[in-house]
Amino acid sequence: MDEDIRLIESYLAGSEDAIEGLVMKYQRQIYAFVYRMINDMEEAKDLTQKTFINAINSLRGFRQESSFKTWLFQIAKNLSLNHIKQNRHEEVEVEESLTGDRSGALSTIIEREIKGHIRRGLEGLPERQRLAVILRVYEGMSCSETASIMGCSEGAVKAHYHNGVKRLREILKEKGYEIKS
Amino acid sequence: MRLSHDEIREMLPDYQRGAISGEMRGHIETHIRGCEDCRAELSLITEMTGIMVPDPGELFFKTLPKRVRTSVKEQGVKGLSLKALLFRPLPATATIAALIIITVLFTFTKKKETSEFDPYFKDPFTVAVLDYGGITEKDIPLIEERIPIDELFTYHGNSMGYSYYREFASLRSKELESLYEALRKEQKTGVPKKS
Repeated sequence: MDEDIRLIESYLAGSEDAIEGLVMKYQRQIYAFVYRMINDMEEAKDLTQKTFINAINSLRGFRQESSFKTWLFQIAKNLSLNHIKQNRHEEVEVEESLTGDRSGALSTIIEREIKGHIRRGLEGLPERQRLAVILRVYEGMSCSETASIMGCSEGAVKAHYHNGVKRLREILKEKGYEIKS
Repeated sequence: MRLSHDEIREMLPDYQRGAISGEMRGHIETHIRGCEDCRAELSLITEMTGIMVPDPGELFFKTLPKRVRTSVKEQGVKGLSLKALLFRPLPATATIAALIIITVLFTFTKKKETSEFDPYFKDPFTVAVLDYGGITEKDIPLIEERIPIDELFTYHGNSMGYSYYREFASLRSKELESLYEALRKEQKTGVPKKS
């Protein structure tokens, strides 16, 4: 966090090298987050770049009310949601070809199928639930960080997260997979 | 420390990631052993974290910082003409000041032009100050003698709405004063001569 502030101040003081420092630090996380939101690798690459360009261009307006990371994720979230809205009509159900590669042990096949169902289940969740689950589970954000990114209360984050997880469990149950420890 | 089921459930993503340690981790593990719901949720979270995103390739990550830097620089140069000149604090103040001056000048110039050329225009200041009470229809023939009269004009207005009343109303105070002065010199003020 201190490193982020140092890089930001350095950029504002005229050092363009600082841009590269900030991008290098967060590019993998932002790409993974955007990909999980939109499920399209090429678009995710594009939106990752846009996220950083928008962030750097708005850096003078960054008030440090939240961490740079949270702020960056807010930008990535907004771009992802805009992308989803703009491309909603073009969405085509792409059924994962699980039958194409059925080699290997039965347990591996089942494992792969479960992951496929989870991924599709996650895709089918309402936006806010999907955001809460992705940020909490994959990005390791706390409830307060997630709330800040989503622009809602921590209570709302908890509700969205639990409804999302509950729905995923139901989907797996409907498909005949009972996840047990 | 005693944690409720809901509190522990909130912590499961952090627990699964290994972000919780020490005594707290022990509490969570004890709870999970006796709670089937939390066990199932933890298993789901574990399955989820096993789903990887496709790798865009090392080249993408290697070149992204440079591409972002170049784009920001290019946009900065492009934006300099509009964004920097118009919306940054100092130029913005200058722009606003210039706009105010232009608006004020335009307003006054426009008013002057309108009052000179528009026969229907009523200058609120002039109209309010001038007193036409002293001018009656009887005075009009006096002026008629001196002013070439367009036959289309009548006292009460022609088809276009022009009339002497309007003509008088459009005169400025100085013009009326000059007119009055001219009439006074020729001793044509007051009651008209009887022929």
